[in-house]
Amino acid sequence: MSRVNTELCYQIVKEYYGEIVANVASFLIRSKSSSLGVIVQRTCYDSKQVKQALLTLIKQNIVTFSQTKSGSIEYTAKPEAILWILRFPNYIHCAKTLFGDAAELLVEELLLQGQTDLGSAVVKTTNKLNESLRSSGSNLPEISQSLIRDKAVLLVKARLIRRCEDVILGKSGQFGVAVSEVTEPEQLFLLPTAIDFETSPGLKRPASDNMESKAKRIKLEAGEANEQEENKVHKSQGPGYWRVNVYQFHHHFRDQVIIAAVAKNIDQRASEVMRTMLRLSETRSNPLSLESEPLSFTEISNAMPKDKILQKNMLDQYLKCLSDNCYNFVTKVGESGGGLYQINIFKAIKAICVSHIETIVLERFGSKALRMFRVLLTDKQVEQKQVEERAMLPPKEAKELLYKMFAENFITLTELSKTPDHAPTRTFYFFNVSLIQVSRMILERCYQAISNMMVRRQKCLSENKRLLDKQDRVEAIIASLDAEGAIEQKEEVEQMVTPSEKAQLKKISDAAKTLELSEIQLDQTIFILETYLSYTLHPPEVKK
Amino acid sequence: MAAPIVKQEPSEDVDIEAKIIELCGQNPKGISDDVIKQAIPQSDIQQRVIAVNRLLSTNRLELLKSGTKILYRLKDPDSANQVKGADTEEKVVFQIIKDSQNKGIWTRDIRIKSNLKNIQVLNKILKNLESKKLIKAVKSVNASKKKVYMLYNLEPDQSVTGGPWYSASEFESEFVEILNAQAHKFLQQRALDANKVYPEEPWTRLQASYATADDVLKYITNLGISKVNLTVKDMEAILDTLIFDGKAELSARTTGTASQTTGDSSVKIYRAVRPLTDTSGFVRTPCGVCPVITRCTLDGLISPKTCIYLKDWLEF
Ligand code: SF4
Repeated sequence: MSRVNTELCYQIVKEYYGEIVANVASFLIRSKSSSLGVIVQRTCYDSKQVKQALLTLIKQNIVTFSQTKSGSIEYTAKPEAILWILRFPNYIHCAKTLFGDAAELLVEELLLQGQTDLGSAVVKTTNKLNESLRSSGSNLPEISQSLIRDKAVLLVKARLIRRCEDVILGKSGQFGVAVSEVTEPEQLFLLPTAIDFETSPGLKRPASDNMESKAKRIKLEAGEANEQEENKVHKSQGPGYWRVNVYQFHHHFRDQVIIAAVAKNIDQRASEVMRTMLRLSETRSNPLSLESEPLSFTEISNAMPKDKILQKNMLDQYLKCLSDNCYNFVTKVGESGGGLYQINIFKAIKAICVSHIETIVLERFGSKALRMFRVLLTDKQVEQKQVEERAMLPPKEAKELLYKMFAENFITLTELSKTPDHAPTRTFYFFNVSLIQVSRMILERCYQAISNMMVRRQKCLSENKRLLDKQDRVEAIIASLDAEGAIEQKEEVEQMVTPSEKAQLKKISDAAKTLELSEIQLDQTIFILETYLSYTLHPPEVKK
Repeated sequence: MAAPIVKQEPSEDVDIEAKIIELCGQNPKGISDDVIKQAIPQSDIQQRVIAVNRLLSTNRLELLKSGTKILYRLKDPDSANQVKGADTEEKVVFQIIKDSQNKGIWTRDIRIKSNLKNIQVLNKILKNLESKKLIKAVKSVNASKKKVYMLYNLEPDQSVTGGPWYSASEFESEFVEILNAQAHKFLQQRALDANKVYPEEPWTRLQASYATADDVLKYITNLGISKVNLTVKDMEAILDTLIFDGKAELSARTTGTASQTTGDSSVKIYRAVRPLTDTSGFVRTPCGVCPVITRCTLDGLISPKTCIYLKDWLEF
């Protein structure tokens, strides 16, 4: 974990959960794993504060814990889970487009809580929906809880939400000591049963007996093995806890990226064909494999959405385009069923990642540098002179740009000496591009850029705190006057914010919006780079 | 006997020139225009003037006056009488340069071959020969400071001049970029046309959006932007740069019949493409193009808190 990355994690946690939690989290990230005692000692907070912080982090699935051989409990942070917080808006939006408003609210609730029981999530969602119905003044009938429950089941079926891992209880049976390892992933997606929807009104978390509810109020007792927060009790004892399954969302994002690329390369209809193929393969292929399972022509044709059905001949042409062109996103692997087609997920992701990197080279170094960069990508090991010739650039300019890219680690240099003394005159110098290295480097910089954006945004807001507070107060007064119907006074109050202050306020909110938007856009680049790297660095096991 | 022919001329002119050379060879004393007229009756005066002028300018003929008549005589680059008054050393150097043909030869190699130890002597000889317009020095593009020598009347080889992309051994970057842009325009137009003609047939449309290097070359030639005659090979080099720009894509098409020149039954085809993705969000922030990002830290001199790039960007 690099310095930049730790810094970003700190910024994110600070923004969402406050400074104490952020300090505990970044200490855990730096130290890999530690016990409560060590954390207290090193962060200089008292143990109550640390426990609170740990509780928040555990609930947000950022920290897990396990018992060492000596019996003490070690806390470990998962930094990637912190970075996922940046994607919350995307997850929520995705749930909405896939399954509608109710799903959106359910996912939002689960994300906010980190872990929660389905029962209360359903109740909250139902209430929110009905409230907005009422306030919009429509006279539609109330939405029933069972409807939302069905939505929740749907989300589980789509694997967008899942059960939390069990917590192993210590000897006393009162306190969890470790999060159990999942041996059977399917268990996490067992559909919710009636018991999962049970709620105890008035309580945030369900409790079947007194002891449990006490534990729930976080018993992070200092000392020995019982310094554990209650997490999830045995299933038999009550409703289980649920959380969002970010991986499934990521698969979905990945598919969206591929679909968008097809739309750019061919056209909108081609992207619909790709969408259909990805949807078909979703349930059938291992989400991590490099290629999808083969899909037959008939299958694809039948699965096309009703309003986008294509003539056989046209579909055939589109599949040909996809497989003979378009960076080989698709390969034809057989003739049965009117032709068997396979999606080359990895090839597609790689092409997209390369394209992203190329746009970065273009913006940073200009079109001539991009030309040389692509010469290196195509020809692998190239001498400076050859690069100039292939790219048809004047030697002086070419040299300048090449060394600029080299200095910024976009390209690398290999030395090949004819003699053991490595005398420069008898040495060949080859330029090349290591995609993995470049991706990693850019990824780092994206982390840094996001962190910069956040810092700047916070600074911008804190510098203008007085003004922003004033705006809040004025707005509150206006709202209450509105309710009383006092028009005259209202105008008077409105005047309290001077025009120059108004202009300033607009500037602040514009700047904050620009920065927030950049954070989201940066995350898209991060997502693509991370996806590419995860495919390259941990290739999925070959199926037996 | 005749000087080596280096330049390919349009065939008819070559015929006339060759005939004139031949006639001169038969009449070492020189020939008049009448003689030529008789020998090539089908030629008009215009063609003859062009041919003679060309031969004069390439130093293969010389002009003599005998009375009121003008005679053309073969200028012999080979014979010792050209180097008349010269000593043996000069003759040896001349011969070495002549052997190098239109590739030219470098001073150092002349020295080695001629066994002339003294550089000053050699330089003097070369100067001498140059002033007599028997040889010339040509700057080679391969090594900017290297001069090569060849016979005066020779057209330097492509490997020396660098082909159409060089003028006076300077790389003509703008010329390349103009051709690159025009070729791109042509391919884009192709794609647009294909889109209009085949909106419902993606594969046919794709095929129709391709063009061969020959197609592009014809378009460029018609535009008349190139003063130099470009070959298909030159065009392919330009199209390659388009591919490296990420603006074009290469594929192959089988022609069915093997082409006579390459013996290949497939030809390279090109089409315009757009990048696969939008500009990355990274470079849409100032940090993405920031020259000092590696030195930017939270509490350092360069910091996002005080950064002027961000300030300008946010106008804040
Ligand atoms: S904050 Fe400013 S100085 Fe720092 S990386 Fe971004 S643009 Fe560069």
